[in-house]
Amino acid sequence: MKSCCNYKTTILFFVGMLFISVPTMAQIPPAGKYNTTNYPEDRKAIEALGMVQDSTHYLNDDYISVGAEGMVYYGKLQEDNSFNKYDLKFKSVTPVEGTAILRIFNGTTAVSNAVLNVVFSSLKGELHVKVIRSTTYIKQLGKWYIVYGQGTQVQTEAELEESMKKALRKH
Amino acid sequence: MTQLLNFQNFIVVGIFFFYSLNVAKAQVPPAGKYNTINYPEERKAIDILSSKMDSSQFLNDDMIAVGPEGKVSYGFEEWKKGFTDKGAAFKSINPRPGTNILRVYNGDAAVRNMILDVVFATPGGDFSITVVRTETYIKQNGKWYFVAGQGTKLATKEELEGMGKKQ
Repeated sequence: MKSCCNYKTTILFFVGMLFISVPTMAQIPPAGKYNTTNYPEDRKAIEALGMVQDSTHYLNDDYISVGAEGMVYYGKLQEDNSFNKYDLKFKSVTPVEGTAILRIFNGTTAVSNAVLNVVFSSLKGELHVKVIRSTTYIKQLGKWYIVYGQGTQVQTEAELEESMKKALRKH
Repeated sequence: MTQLLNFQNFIVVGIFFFYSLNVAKAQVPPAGKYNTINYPEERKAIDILSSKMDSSQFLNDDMIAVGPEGKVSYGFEEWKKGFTDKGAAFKSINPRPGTNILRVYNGDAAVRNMILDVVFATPGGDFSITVVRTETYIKQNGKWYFVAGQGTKLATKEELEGMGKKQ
């Protein structure tokens, strides 16, 4: 119960966002609000990390990711297995202009956020999704690693209303 | 284009899961996989931080929060406003046993993951969702701050099958 109470105030705010019915409004940060120029060399290193996907980027697999469907993947292998299982082919990723923000703290931690339009090809046809992707990076012994990534689908107003109706019907 | 390609590798593994039909599977990490005991004093400080919610938690408002419906809040005031405007009444939050993992790095960064069953009271009745919640914390000048949070709703099988279909 104590654990529950500890989370209450935090959760109160973020889950409450469900009640906002305007997720399609501008998702762009106020100009100049965040420092997006500090640690320029580290920014380059983090960008380079995104160019190649291999197991060395994951700090001895100390990595957790969350798919946009709400599945948690504990380590790269779980993530890869799920991906391969359904043979999805990536077709395009288009960041929504102005939404990509990389913040670096203390020179050893970085958090990126971006809104992305993604298209996959699959056996069932094309999949079109708009997601908000966040990634956290940690620098150890001079090298950057990905330790966490999460996607959340951007719901349209209609989807949000439908989802709320269904949740209400459960009770 | 370069930026686009930079995202590709991350996204390709981050978003493809829509077809996974294993949503109901256990969402508990393998025992011993993560270090959840290092920096014990820092862990206590982060727990205290989680137990309150005011502007002092945020590094000069250098925070970004993502709600489970896909809304980004740039700063505490945006975040708070979205909630209070709708007058939502919180009813219960139940963390799923074994899913709360706090990892601390270099003594000045931390990432917490957890799965929560949340119920709200609304004029239309109780509203329940399961959310995967992640928070990132930073320590500066001896104090911990919350800099990022994101929620993703656990999709039902029906929702999963409808995901990605062009509207």
